[in-house]
Amino acid sequence: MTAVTYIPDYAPPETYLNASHTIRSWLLTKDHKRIGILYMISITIMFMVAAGAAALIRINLLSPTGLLPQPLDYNKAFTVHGVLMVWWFLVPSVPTVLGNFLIPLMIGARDLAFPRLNLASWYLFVASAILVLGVVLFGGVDTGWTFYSPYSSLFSNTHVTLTIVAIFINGFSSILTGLNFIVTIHKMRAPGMTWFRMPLFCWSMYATSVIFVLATPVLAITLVLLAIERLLRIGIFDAALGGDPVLFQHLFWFYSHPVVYIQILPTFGVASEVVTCFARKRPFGYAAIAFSSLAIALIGFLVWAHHMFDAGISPYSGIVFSFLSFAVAVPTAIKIFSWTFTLHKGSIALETPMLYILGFMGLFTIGGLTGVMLATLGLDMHMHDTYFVVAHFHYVMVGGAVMGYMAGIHFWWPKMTGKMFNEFWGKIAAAITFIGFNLTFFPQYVMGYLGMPRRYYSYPPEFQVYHVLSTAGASILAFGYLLPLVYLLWSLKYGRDAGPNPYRSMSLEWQTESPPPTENFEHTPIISEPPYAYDLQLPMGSSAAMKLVEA
Amino acid sequence: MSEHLVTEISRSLVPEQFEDRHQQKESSTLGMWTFLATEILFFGVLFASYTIYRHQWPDAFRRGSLDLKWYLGGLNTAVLLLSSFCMAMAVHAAALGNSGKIIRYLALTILIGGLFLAIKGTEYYIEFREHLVPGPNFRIDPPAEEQTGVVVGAFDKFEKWFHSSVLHDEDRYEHERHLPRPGNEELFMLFYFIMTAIHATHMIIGIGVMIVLIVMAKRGAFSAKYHNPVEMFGLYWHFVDIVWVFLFPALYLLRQP
Amino acid sequence: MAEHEEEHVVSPLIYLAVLIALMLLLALTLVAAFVDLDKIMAGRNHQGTAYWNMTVAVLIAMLKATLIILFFMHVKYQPRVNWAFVMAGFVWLGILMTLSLADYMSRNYPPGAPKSAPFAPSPDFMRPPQRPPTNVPRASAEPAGPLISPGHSFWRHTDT
Repeated sequence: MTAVTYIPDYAPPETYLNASHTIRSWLLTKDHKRIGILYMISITIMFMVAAGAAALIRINLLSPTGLLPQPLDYNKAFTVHGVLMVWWFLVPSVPTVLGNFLIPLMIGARDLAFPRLNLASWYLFVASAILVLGVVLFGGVDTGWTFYSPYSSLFSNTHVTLTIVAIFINGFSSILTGLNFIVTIHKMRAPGMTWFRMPLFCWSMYATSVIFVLATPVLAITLVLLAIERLLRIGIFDAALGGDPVLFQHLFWFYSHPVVYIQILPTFGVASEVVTCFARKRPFGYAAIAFSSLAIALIGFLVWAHHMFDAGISPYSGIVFSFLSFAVAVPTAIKIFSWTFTLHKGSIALETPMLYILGFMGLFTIGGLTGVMLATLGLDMHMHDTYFVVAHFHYVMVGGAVMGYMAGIHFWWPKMTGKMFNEFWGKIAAAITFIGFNLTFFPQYVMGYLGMPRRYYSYPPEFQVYHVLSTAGASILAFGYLLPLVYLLWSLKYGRDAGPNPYRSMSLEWQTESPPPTENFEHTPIISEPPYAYDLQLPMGSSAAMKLVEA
Repeated sequence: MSEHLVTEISRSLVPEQFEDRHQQKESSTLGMWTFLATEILFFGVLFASYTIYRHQWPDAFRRGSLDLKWYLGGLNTAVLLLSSFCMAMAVHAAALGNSGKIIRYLALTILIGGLFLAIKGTEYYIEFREHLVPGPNFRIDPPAEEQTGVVVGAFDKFEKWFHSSVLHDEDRYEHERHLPRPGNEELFMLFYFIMTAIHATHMIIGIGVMIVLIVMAKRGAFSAKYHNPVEMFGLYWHFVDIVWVFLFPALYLLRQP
Repeated sequence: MAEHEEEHVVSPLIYLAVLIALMLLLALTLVAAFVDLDKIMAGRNHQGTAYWNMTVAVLIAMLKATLIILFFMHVKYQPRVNWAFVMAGFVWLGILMTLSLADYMSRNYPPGAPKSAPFAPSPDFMRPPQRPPTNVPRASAEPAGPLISPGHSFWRHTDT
């Protein structure tokens, strides 16, 4: 196997970015890297729309009597925020951007198993995005992102069916992506890249893809049934026929609980990569991290009714689900311990990606622990549908998943674009995001515990101080998200050239040029070293993870 | 320096991301099974909901099973099993590289699939005439024999003959079928129509794909070395058959009190 | 150089044998459906759902599905990882069914236990249906109407 050397005086090598410049070559690309970039642009747009809806929510809640013209508008705001964030930002974020870009590079393949299917996934995503943005433009939807029947099926006057169709199409995009990843990881690994030499990011993506494939169809059929009930005004959740609205909740949450693991598992993978690289250490417990990803994927399917403790399920099944929900915290905790012990006695460099991941570890731990609080059947009776729940899931999703996504974008930005961003502004943005996030969401824990309900347009005046703190924090958080947009785009033109491996990572994707050529590697790599060989202490720029293998 | 040696002869036809035909075939098979797993869950939700409601409303759902035409459902099951056999033969022909046989067996599968849909359509018509369709069509009281028409009357005669000559419980049959229907039977019928309609949609899509495969086979796209589309579609078609194998007893045959 | 196995071409005779077996199982299913198994097993007139009939029907269907999967879909001749993929869908469906049924079967059990959401409606639910309201709640531009009340359905109609 060749060692890759970068010779700066030559004409710029052909990379996936400059291989061709026409729009047609981008829109009809089969290159997983280009598709990753296309996704990145798409989800950034959707994030901004969803964040706009969040702004409306926070502005409305500045006053106890609500500032939006009508309560219906507030319902639409939180529904649009939830729907867009879950399906058009969080679920795709790390898998479609970083997963698409990195998985073939990390396992030494030329592309994913089904490149055209990958492009089809993106087109399905874009079609669904256009449809849902149309819904938002033409009046929105007000059922809450959970679409509980019978309100969504029989009584809501908003564009529920169109939203359902958009989510259905989005679901297919997810399923095809997950399918692609599973087959790729099973069948396309380079010679010598055994399962236990794969980067932990690939293990996380594999577990995520299993959830994609097994959970999303349940959502698809449940939405079909809901649409039938809405269109035909007769359905299986209709109590007048003997149906049970709680069945909708069972079916909905069977998907929607695993979906939160789809949102967080990929960022666990990012964390494994960033922590090992910036602590210059092997991961503490590679097998533990790998198997705990699979365990989270499996046990995550067993806990869904903890969203329904007070919906009318039997208390016996409530006890069972509460216990299983405690169980799912165990593999997650194993990961946090593993990363912490990886950091211990490591040679830690506090670069921007590492700052984001450290924030991620702390905030996700808080969010996760409050999740265990909510899993406690007795406590949940009081805290369900309060701001405590809102704070919990924002801690894990924003403090966890979004910070992990930002960490990943920053970490692999040099690989994707060949440019280094401004490190100073990166650190500032990470700090601002951390401060803004805590100011936004910590008061929500307090007021939730004190009884402030969620999805309420107006509230008793004693909660106003918390809401004002929260909105103030949200403004800071918004600035923290806008800043990377500025300096990352700036770096595209003015950033210094990154070179193949600016962070001296031992992972395979760093052993080819930045940006990579279209075919990823000049020659198929042959792997003979264990992963994360940081203890070999090699000088900067060398690619020692792959040895020259004599024929 | 060692290179990854490639022994495939017709490498130019293998898509770029794969090393050889073998990797391509294995990947396609795994991919197709992953897709079928999603379909298992897609249909499975309907089965799970049906099971839950059958547990809750046993009498109404039993009455629903009695009101369906079990002999048409059974005939359809046999038809679909036969079509699966033809599909397996088509895949076999593909493995041997015989394009003519592929086309013939695929055409046969299409015809048999069409027969299934025709029988299904007949059933839907019967249910419509008997006022079993959920919504404005549904009636609590079963229609009198004169109101239902010739087709339904013919099938009724057959069923009466079966109950008297084979099962010897004509009295119970006549008594039960004239009782007013439980209100929740509409829920059962909803399940029946939704599940069979989604199944039929999958069959129609399958027939469409088979037409495309026939065109591809005519153009010589398949050989003994490469016939993945036929084989992968075969998996899909067999899966649709398996769904029906579970649908039939679940909907039609749970007739005992 | 890789683990290339021979492409296993299955003989059509095996397909024919499987087809005949499937048809026989179909006949068996039909026969079993018309025999009141619960009466035979329980030995007296029984109340409630026909659990034995259901079990037999599902078992025969599973047997048919297994034959189709192993032979028509060639899974018998494929590596173990494919078997795992086949089983995964069914196992996950099993999870959905088991835990959902666990909720529904444990509601209002035992008698006198804390009440879950009432599923069994009051006895007058089965009364003859009433005419639907003439103004449809959803056609107007007004916000959502009152919560659904038992016995109300858009399509409820009289017997005429």
